[in-house]
Amino acid sequence: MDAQLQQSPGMPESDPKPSPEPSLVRRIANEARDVLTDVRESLFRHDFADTFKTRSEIMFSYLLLHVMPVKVHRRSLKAATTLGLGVISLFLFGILTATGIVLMFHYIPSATITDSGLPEAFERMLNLRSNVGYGPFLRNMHRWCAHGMVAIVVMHMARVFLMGSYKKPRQFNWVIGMLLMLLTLLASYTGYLLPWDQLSLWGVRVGTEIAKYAPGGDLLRAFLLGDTDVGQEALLRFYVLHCVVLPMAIAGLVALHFWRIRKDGGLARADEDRSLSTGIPAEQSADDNRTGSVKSYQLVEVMRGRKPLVDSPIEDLVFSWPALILRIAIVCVLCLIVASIFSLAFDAPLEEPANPMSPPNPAKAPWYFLGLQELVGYNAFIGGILLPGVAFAFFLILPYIDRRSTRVGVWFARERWVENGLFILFVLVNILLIVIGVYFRGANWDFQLPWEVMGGH
Amino acid sequence: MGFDNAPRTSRRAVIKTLAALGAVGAAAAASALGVARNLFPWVSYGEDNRVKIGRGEDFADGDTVLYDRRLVVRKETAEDATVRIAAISMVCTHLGCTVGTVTGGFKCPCHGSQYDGDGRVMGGPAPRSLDWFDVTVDPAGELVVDKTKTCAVESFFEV
Repeated sequence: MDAQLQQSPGMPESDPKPSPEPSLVRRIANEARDVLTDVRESLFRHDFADTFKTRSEIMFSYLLLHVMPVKVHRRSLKAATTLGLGVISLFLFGILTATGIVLMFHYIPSATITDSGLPEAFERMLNLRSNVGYGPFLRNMHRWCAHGMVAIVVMHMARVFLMGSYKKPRQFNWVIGMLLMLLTLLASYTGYLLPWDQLSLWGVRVGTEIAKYAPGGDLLRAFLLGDTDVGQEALLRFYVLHCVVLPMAIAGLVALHFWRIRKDGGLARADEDRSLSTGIPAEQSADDNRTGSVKSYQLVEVMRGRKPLVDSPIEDLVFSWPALILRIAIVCVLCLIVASIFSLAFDAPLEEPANPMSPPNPAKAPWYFLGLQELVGYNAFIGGILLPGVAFAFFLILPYIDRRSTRVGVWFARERWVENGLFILFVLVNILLIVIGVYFRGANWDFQLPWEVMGGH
Repeated sequence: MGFDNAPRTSRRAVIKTLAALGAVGAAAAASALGVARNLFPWVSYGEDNRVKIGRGEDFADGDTVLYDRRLVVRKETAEDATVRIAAISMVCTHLGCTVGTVTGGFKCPCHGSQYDGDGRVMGGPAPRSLDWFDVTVDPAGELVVDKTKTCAVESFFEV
């Protein structure tokens, strides 16, 4: 600016200075500023003024954000609609990945008995406990978040069922969700083998024995164990499954799950929501949108649905940035706080080192498998293969069985009371089985009242 | 939904496509089978199914629990001094946990199967009685239990 001012015609002619080249310093400064601008513009492909344009651009100019729509329905944002369960599941998976990678730096999948008389993998748990900064905390986080993920994924599934949100056109996303739940359970199962303590060894021995009762189970068992019995080969296989195969499968299916949400038109909401919330009759609002140029600057999205979306009250859509992103961030931070406090307060279980000769008494699985263990306690085939298999297969293809048209995206829709009632009954039976397994089973799996003998293990 | 305007696909093109897909498919299947075979080793790295447990005279009459072999060795000496040995498995027939010895029999800590002293099922989810194994004497005079050969309950072997 100064340089330009000096050129102004009002300046005396007599000034001997030649028409000024900008000084070297200034040129470097200008150049540096241009470079910085380039860097900024190549990283952030939007300006920073708080306009609708910026808000949209933010949403679609970042890889992770563009997974989400530019605008979301107000109802989808409400905590009561989703309880944030999907976000929490994903976030827990993120914590598990992060802590899992760190833990991998300290772990050796070896069942070899070392000089100390302990299996090497188990010894690494002790190493983590005493020789590594924040070792116990990381292991606690990993274990508790795994338990949490199982619980949250199941709750997420229950939420989607109780809202009837698996109905057309979201059938296939429900199927993907069921597969993700199965993978979550498998990831948990393969994970608790790794410390090579008593829980690991006997959990895996029993689990793979159950497989024997299934048709083709011998082959599955041979694949999982890599041998005729649980040992070094099994530990190595479960390690690879746990650290590579299952997380990659989960990540892939999660991507598909999210992509389908968008392609299926966002979160399910009751159809009547669209015209009810404005109070404008459908044909009139449609008309408004066709003729009224007022809203023509709004973004138009192509979505699937039974009605053209022009009927939808545009006022009910809000920009995802920052409303949605902020909520997601809050949910994640809360989740992290809860997980951290829990991990500081409670240590992840570590039983005695694996003893291939005899199991602890009673030998109990983690809580989420205790319902299954209770069932297996009656009959291995019926309880371990038939009932879980039929239940899983039923829920897997549920959207293609339950084709009745009902409201979707509404908690406990009245016309779905039979479905919801049966589902809640199913959940209660499962919880009852788990409670029996956790509190009412003592030594030798004998029935006992929880206050009679506590512990024993 | 008619595709009247769609260009007609010639028989030759269809056959070519199928042949190409078939060739690729066969190659893929062969590779997959090879990889699958790789996951099932030819050998077992685990413990031998035939285990030596020592000489007959090492055992006292009655039951001896060999935890590391997951076996109960039962020895009976008749009045004419003939020695009979039996080997009873301590692996629960339900889901493979090691049963514990209790008064009058065995109990499984995993799912509560109960067996009497001869391993017959007395309660719980166990589908059949505990295995009794074949016992032989090797040339050096050591007892060999073959866990691949199961026999009827109360199968004793003279040694």
